[in-house]
Amino acid sequence: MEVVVFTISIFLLSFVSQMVIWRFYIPQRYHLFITIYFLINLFVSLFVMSVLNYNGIIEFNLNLIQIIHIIIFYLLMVYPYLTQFTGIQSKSPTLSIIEFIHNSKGKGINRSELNSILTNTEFIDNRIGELVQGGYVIENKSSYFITKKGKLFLYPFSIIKKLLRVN
Amino acid sequence: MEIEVVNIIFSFCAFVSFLIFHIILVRFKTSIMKSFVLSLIFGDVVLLALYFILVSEFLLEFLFNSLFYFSLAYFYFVCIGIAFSSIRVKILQDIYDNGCLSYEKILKNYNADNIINSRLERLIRSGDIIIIENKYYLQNHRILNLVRIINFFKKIFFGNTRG
Repeated sequence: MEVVVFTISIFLLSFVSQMVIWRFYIPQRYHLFITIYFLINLFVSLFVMSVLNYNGIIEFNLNLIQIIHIIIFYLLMVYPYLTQFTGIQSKSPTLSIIEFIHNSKGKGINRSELNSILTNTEFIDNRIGELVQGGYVIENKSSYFITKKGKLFLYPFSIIKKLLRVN
Repeated sequence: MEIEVVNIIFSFCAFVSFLIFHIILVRFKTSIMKSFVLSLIFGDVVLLALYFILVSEFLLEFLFNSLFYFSLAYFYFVCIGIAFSSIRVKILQDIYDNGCLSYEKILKNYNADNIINSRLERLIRSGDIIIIENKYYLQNHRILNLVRIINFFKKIFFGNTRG
């Protein structure tokens, strides 16, 4: 029970403080920023808790197994959050289509009207740019090559596809 | 054995059961979403059975540890989502499969036009939108509610809904 309460509390604290940071400063490599920021929050919180506990200010004694449990649980919350946050930071084609149709207020949208809101620049160029910026691919003489980091990133997804036998 | 160690081991056992059951269901052509929900329930039943058989006064431990098990399962679900529908991963996979790709070749496979067509097809198939006399209309508000939630967070993070 302590593990769940402690992990969710640190996660919420990180989430709320990230919201405040975002209103003043939006980092360009936000994935990296969120990962590091959330990890720092975790370790600082664990450190503060142990100091407070050591000095007898609070009674919240966590053993090593519980700390490992907290770290695993927290990471399991951060990674999905990070991927969901991509949906907040950049535009999703499906959600854009639904929103656009909804904004027509019941008049409906034809196919050509959809072309005006969804462009290659928004959906492809941005994504290629993020792959280059993240170091997953490199651009050389107008061609894109995958890097070691890119191959490593693809590996778990290839395993999932092989296991499920779905393309 | 300490209860904390038991909790972690039980959660991973439940997750492995979930995983095996999910792989079997998907291989037998059950949809990803349906198989995920069924496997999630199956894994939680395994977790409950483990606590019921091996731990006395287990209810609270089971409830809290179910959250840990759900987060393991959700982590896997997010990975599946990325593997099968992320445009970034698809582009990266294409570059990997072909050795290298030019911008024009990437655009040949992934352009706004193709993406819109595939998403429209999927939305019609799932009953979210309907096409009447060449115009698209919303049929149910399931995804619209998701749009509202995302717009709410966009407002909080960026002060507007543009992102």
